Amino acid sequence: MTLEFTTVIGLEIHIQLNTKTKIFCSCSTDYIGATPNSHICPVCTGQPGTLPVLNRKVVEFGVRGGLALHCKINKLTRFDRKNYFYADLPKAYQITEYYVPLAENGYLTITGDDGQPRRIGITRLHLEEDAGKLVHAAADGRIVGSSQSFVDYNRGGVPLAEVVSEPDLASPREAREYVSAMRQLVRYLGISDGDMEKGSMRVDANISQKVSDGRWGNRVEVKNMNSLKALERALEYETLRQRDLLARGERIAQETRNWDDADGITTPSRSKEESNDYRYFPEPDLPPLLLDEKYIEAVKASMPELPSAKRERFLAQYKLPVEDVLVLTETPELAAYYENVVKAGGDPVRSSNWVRTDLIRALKEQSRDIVDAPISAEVLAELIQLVDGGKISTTAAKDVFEKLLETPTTLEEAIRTCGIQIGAVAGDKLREIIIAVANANADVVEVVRSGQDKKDKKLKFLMGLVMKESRGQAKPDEVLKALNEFLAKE
Amino acid sequence: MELYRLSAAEIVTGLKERKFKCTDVVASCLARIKSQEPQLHAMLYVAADTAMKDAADIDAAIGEGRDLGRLMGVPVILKDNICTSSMPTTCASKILANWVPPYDATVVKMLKAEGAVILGKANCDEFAMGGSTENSAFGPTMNPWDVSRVPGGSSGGSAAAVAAGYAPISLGSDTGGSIRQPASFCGLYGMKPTYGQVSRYGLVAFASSLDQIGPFARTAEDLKLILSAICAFDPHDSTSEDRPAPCFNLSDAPLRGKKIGVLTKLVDGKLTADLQAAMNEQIEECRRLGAEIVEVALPKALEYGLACYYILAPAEASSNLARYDGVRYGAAYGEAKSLLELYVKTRGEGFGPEVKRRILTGTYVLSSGFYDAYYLTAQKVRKVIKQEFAAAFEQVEAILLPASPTPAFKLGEMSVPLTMYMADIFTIPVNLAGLPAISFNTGFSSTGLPLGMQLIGPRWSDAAILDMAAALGKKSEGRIAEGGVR
Amino acid sequence: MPRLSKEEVMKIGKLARLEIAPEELDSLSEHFNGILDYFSKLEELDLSAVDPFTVEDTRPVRLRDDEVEENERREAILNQSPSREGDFIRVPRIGGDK
Repeated sequence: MTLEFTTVIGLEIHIQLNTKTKIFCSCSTDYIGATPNSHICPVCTGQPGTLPVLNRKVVEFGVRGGLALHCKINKLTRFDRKNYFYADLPKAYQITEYYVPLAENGYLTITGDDGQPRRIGITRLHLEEDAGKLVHAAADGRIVGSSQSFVDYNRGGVPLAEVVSEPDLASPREAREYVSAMRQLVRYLGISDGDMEKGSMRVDANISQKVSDGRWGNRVEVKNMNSLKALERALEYETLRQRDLLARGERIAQETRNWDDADGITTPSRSKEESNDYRYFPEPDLPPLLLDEKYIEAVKASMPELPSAKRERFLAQYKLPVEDVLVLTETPELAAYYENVVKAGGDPVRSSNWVRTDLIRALKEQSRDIVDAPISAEVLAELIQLVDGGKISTTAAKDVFEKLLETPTTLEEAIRTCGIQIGAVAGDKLREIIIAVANANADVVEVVRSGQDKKDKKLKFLMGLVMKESRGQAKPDEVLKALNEFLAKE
Repeated sequence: MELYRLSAAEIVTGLKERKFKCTDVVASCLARIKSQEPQLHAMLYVAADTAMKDAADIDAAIGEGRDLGRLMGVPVILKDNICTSSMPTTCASKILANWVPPYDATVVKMLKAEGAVILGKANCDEFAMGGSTENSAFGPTMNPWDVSRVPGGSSGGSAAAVAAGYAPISLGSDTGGSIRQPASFCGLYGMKPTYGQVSRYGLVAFASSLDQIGPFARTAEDLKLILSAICAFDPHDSTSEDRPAPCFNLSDAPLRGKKIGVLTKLVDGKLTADLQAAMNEQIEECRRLGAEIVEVALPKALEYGLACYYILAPAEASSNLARYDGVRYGAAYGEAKSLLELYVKTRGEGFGPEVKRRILTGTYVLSSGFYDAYYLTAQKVRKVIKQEFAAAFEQVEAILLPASPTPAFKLGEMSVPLTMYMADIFTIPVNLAGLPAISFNTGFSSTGLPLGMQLIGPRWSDAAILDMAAALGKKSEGRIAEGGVR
Repeated sequence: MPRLSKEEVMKIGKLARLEIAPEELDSLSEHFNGILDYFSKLEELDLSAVDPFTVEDTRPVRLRDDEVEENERREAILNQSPSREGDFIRVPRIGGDK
């Protein structure tokens, strides 16, 4: 009997909330690239006698996240202490929400493996503080085989929202989609950068296999996946590993495994020697958090348009194909840029083309972010309108576009520098170019004149040359007319 | 009269009237410390230089006609679990020996803002765990009234210092009676304010939901002065209450028409003969001063309070003390080859036996499988006790009760920890309910030991119970000012 | 009557990262069992109707504005560490992963 397997995946995502200050003290959260231990204070280094004070923005961001995930927001929540010893944990406990999370019982919709929308259950979203960072190095700076570690508390106390999904994900692809959708959501909400590489979004997976003969393999926790690709690869590897073991009648050890991106395998995590008895109890230094209906309504009202709503609206409003909409709404900043182009007069379809191809390419080449776009939406709209109005050709416009990328200047200046005069090549000037092209391609001219150019292939060829020579400054219909006139003559 | 014998109020007035200088006052106190310390060992750190410098600055300010605050020029001593950035803060533990905090406790800032002069840090039980100051890693403190006896604990050093005339006021902390019991043993006023009344920011935490900083003084007027300085909202402490500061006032007849609750039935047989007689006499005095005596019942508080406390306090302590690992502050085990070794050896060597006992107990009652049976149960009992007090306070304005079943006991006498725990029976329920309570002297035993009584009030009645305690403790103030240890 | 074996006491010590010397073990176990015995008193009470975590008598947590406050205590904080090394605090090598 051939065995069939069903993959069961649940994900825990830690999202760093990008508030200005830490969750329990007023230190800056801007720790990336900062001097080690420069964003610290007595509170976040766990000095004896210090006490936590809750950041209101963290609560707001958490509620935003919970609402966007269709969760029930708990009006009365408490913080708890999770007690364990580790060098990056200054108080030897983490303040978190264990017993009553801020939000629970929601969902996030993704496209399932069957192409249909699927709701992935969200068990809970809760607030907690991040730990510091450890750097492992030897005295000579080498990392391998070092005998000591170095602690940097800058990250300690940065606010986190932990989102736990139900084990509803059926494949590594779905897991990747879920994380991608979560990332897009938090960026839309403005509560986090959602960047896996930078560490502002960290994903741990729990994966197991159900077997058609009734067995259900143990759950394995997989950690250390630092990109969407790594996530998918890790879970694919783990799926195969588990299925292989189960097929041979072996058991799956319930353990934590680390993804090794270089070797493409998961390996058992060297277990922390001690048991994980966290001895959770309510945080006595923080009274309960009470949220009323008015507050929740206010947060709801201040929420930005969510990705799904924006996608629907773009489809209806701009009548673009789905693939285009997906690209344009990838980030709220890009969507806003696009809409600004349209608002400034650009035709929706053409604006979509320009933004999706030329602009995005340019941003990539220059390693720039959309908020830092070299060409403003208004200028791009102007350019598009020039082409639409027949004032310049698409080719000319592309030249102008490149020029604007090189040097920040006005549209008029860029046009002038490219040597383009709007609609300039006509009449005698045009005829001069046609004559020149004809002389250089006499044999082709002969073919056309002799009536053998059945499909106008040669005509088009000549036209192309003329257009090129006129550097797109001639109107295509005028060129065609003039060329035909010329060819008709003897 | 030697300047060190003056009350804080007398110092402030005397300085304003240019009767003497601040440097003279401080010098007098420092000399007193020097002469008595060999017998008492109440201090872990004496800030002689900075205190004299502060005093000189104050004299200069006075010379310019400036008023530096309600505690201007008053020497104050702080229990060594209150963080001072200019002095070590050891909590009487080897694990924090020589630790200088990188910040000041809020109460320290408040005292300085009122012109007080910090004389130094007082001895205590290690991390405030104990009832005699015998758990200090640096040796016990002796009771100025009888140096073969303990001054009480855990704020024993703070109490002995004031009783012996080192300073007119000191601050201690009270988690299960650690101000009220030593106040009682040393003949002083000692107050634990309502939980949330005084900022805990900078008080090294023992049991977060029970700890409060509070003052010791020889006179009610002095207690009023310091309470006025430290009872204020602090945004750095989320458990600090955002309400207007209480208005402390000593009136003429604070007991007239008041109902005072007593628990004679429940207390019967639990006190020494002297204390029993003193309590009865005290009840009579209340009547003479116009109060009505009402028998109230707090059976659950007295029967179950101890068990409840000795689950909750160690539980919180086990978590609060987990941070002492030799990494960021304090003493570290120098030869650790792994992180684990650093932790267990630093803590194994750095903590004394009572602290270890409590950390282990606390770890156990929170551990998986036992949380419901112990911690959760204790939280429920705590609520029941709160409700019991609330019901009692519907009948009376204050409850009169001894602070301790005995006067000061001998050093080494209470060697079994459990027996020491049992002696907290009258103070612990107050912390569980977050109520204010004040110890005051009610007389002396046949052997000349101070006998103390306690007044407990409903939450936020701090000013009222101070007023009442003042009326009752007034008669002793003269003898107390004479002090112990000549 | 709950009784803890010496091994169980050692385990709790491990959980609390506290080294218990052999000479301490006996008295610790004895104390432990004595106090656990005392705790069983609480079983006399009927607490079924008691909810310890209602909000009635505590006011809710106060919230702080999200504004950065520079803290000049960095040096004071780092200098108190027994093992400061430049910008870092050094710890012995950690064995396994988190």
